[in-house]
Amino acid sequence: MKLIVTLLVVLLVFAHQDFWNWNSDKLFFEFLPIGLAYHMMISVAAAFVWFIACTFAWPKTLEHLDELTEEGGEA
Amino acid sequence: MSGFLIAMNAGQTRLAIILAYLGLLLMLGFIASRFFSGTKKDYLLASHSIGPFLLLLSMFGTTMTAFALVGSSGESFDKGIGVYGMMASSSGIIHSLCFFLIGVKVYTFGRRYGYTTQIQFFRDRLESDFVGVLLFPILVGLLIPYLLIGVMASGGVIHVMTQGALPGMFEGGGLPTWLGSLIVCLVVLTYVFMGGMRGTAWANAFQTLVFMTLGIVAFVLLANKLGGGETLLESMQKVSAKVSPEKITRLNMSQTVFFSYMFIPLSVAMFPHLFQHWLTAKSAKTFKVPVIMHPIFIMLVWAPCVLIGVWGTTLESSLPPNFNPNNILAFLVNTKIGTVMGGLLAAGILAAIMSSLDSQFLCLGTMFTSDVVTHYAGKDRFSDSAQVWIARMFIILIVALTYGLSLVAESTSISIFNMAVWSFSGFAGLFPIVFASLYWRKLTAAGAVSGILAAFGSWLFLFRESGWGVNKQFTINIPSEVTAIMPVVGVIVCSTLAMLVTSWLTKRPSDETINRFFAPEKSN
Repeated sequence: MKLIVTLLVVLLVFAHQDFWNWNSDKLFFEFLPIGLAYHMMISVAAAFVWFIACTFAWPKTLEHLDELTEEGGEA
Repeated sequence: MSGFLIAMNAGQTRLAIILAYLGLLLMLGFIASRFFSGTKKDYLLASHSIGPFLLLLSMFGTTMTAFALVGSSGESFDKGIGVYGMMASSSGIIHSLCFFLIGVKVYTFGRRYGYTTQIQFFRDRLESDFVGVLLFPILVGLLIPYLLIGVMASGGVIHVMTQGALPGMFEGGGLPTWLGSLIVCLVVLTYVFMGGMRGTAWANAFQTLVFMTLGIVAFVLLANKLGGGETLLESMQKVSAKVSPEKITRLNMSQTVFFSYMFIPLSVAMFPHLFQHWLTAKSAKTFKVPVIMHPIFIMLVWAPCVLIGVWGTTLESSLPPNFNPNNILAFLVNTKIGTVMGGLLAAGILAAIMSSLDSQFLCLGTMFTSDVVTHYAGKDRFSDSAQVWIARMFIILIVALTYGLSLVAESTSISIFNMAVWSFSGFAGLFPIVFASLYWRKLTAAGAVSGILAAFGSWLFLFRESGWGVNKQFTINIPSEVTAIMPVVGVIVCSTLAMLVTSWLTKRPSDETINRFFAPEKSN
């Protein structure tokens, strides 16, 4: 799963470069410039990738630490 | 109340709103102080009691400065919508990456070994006292311009927004910048002094909600005023249709500069004040909500402000001569919406500024107490409450020093936003060191020292080349002027190379230390 998350982050970084919308003056819903709408979608996609990372690639050792700290005192 | 506001002029109304807001913050600091248990851990780390939502708000508020509302609208007014991709969506990816890869791991070691500062971690991980001696002045030195940005910007906002409030008392009737900065410094100092990290986290959360809400409200009201349509959508369509193509594209933006801007948000991995916020978390899983929601929060603040900035260009003919782009949001609110909203917006901008300032002041007090006083004098030399007082005294000293420097900087016309980019570039140059210390067992103390020196040296060289930040368009050009990249890339490359080469040539820390930070190596 870590590999998939890593690939998704690399994909996000590549998608962020967005040279294909560089000179486009199209307006999404006739008010939102396409270059801005696209990058707002990048923000949403980033949140989704981090959701996947936190759900499926959360380090197992941290859960152990949480159990120790919830039991009380410093771990 | 409304009658009282009507009796006042516009400047006085805005001043009253600003003062009421600052009063609210002081009250919050006072309430937080009632929960203070008296221990150092409680004052500096809120006894690791901060839950997911509060951590999200406090971390977000800490990373967003005046740039969030004023800079985003001003930069997009100047450069167009590309500013969002350059600074906001890139931060959404990189900030969360740093929280996930660095923050969570650092938190784990912080809880396990009882760290309060970054320097304690580096000293322990690398078995080197000198790393701390070297890092302390560099971190403090990089934090000072960051603090100055907040102090100077807050004074400027109060000065502009209170014009006409006190006629006869000050020129133009507005509170002078020095007085506005002083008031903000005293308010932040008071609630940090009283409430420590708990007060800071609460104030940050409250201020984050304030500037996010006001940003969105200002956006809706301005869209309706600027477009003048029947519905919000129709208004937005009408005003967007008037914007020139160069502002809704990236025609005048370099693709390599756009790409290399992505390295600047790596700075959050080495912000000492953010490190301290990480350690306030109740548990490791508390990080999940901030990691996921941070990009969305950035979008909610930046996207409306970028659109407002771009729409502001449609009024260029009615703007005053020599108009400063950073004033576009305040100008539009004052001229299109009205006095009360102007006062609220001023409070929102101050909220964004102060939610960074408070953490930075507290963090410097913490570093001085933990990395200098108790480190050299011995932990048992001072009682817990004495250490809290030492931190408080140092915070007072730092606030006074920053305020004094802001008065000097004010007279030298330094661009505050350019200072921010340079400060962040310096912190980003230290990213390879913190990353390697967590993920590379072969990192040595000498490697870290070389990396830190290379980062600082290259940063200083490039900063000097830019005329100490005066040349706002300064880039590294390789191999010709066609390929321009931000200086941060050069700083990161230098620190990484120095760290790798020196680490390969020198002796790594003892196995005992390595085993405390890494899982045992698998034998074949």
